[in-house]
Amino acid sequence: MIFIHCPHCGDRNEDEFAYGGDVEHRRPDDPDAMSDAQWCEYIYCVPNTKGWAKEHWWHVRGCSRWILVERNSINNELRRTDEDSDRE
Amino acid sequence: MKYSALNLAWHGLRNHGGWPPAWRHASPKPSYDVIIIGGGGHGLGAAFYLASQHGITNVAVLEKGWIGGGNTARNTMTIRDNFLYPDNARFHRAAVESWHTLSNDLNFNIMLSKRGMTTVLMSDRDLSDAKRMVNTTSLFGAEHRIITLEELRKRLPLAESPERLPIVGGIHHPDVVIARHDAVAWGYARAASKLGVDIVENCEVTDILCDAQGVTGVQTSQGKITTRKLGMAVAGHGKQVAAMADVHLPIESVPLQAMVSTPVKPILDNVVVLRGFNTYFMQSDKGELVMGSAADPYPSYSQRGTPQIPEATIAAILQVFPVFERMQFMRQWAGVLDITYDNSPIISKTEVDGFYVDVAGSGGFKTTPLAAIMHADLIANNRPDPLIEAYGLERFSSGRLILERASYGNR
Repeated sequence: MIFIHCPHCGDRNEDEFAYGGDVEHRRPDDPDAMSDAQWCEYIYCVPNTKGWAKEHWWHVRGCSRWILVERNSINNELRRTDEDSDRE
Repeated sequence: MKYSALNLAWHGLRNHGGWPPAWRHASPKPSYDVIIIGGGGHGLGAAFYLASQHGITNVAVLEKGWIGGGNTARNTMTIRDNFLYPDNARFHRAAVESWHTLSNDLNFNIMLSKRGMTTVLMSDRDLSDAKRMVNTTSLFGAEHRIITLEELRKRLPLAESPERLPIVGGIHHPDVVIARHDAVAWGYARAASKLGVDIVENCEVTDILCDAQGVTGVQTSQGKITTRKLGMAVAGHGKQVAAMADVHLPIESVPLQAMVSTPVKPILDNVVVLRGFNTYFMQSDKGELVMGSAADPYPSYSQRGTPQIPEATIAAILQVFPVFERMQFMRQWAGVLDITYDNSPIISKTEVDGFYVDVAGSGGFKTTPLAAIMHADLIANNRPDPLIEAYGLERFSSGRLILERASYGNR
């Protein structure tokens, strides 16, 4: 990985960014409607994808905006990055 | 063949030409009483204890690659028990003790070396945390001691003079040992093979077969094998393997890096921990400085890791030990840890009958013999020993987590 392309700042060193989780791992819309087992699954069972996944990253030591990053967790190769409308 | 001084001398006279292989390379039979997935220390150990303590010898260990080629080969060999919470403290204390007789039990020299660990404390907060840790762990029999600056200087004469750094004291933990990690896998493989266990290398499990009663077997790259009891001792891919049985394990895979310098003559006897920097290092028996620090800041399966970690590790060590400035790097690598939300291991039954897991050790090398003994006991008797009751999968739904800070898999 080493460099992450921030759509606002360009190629920046990866240590300027903080990992913010897989986009598939989203908070359920209605927690009260869930069983304990489903809630437990949401809290503790992260997707932990092996291969390409879309993730939230926070450019915390840069422009401080959230971005979307497509990363291959096998070799940390990056495909494309985008603005993160979910977290803005 | 029993390894002994006499045998060594005899084979020495014959130029070491006649040593038999340490274990049989088996092809899988169509059926076993127990199958263990994963031929690292934990898996081979479980097979050995099933055979030696429970009389179950119709056992196979299936390994995707070669014996001890996974995280057993990627850890930094340090065996410590500075854990804070009662369940962890008890378990890790017993784990350290389980190493002491291992060379004898296996008739294989695992090169256990009692080094002691010295922790350098660099703030008042570190010091008060340390006092709490020392007091807590002493309740469970671990021997920790707060040491003064003078003693710290005596133990670590190579460190930068404490007056130049904000060093406030240290902890000495004499029970810390290191062991040759490869030898642990080889020793277990040899001893288990001798008792009749089949060790099958290059055999990847591609599916876990179940019916309404539970596990019925596994599909592998070397064909289908049936069994009613299946143990999993996989590191790095525990989630993927367990998912084959529709068991969702609450783990995330994060690289933990280590690195070594070129070998030099003996210069450092203790394992050194720099608390404020989350960094530790020691000198191996081969003479290399072995260094490591916190897990990577994001999950990945890359066995290389992010370059920020080695940079920070080396910077930290050079701050306190400028004497190592001219040391040369030889290798750097990462082992992929399966980390649970509470950094504590899972040694447990699952919702599938006959499927047992020993995963997420978060630096599980130090618990190898005890975890293997417990895993074997769990498989043989289908109920957890009191020592591992707290490590069951139920803790995630009941909320009885063991939120341990003393692991390197910190979040």
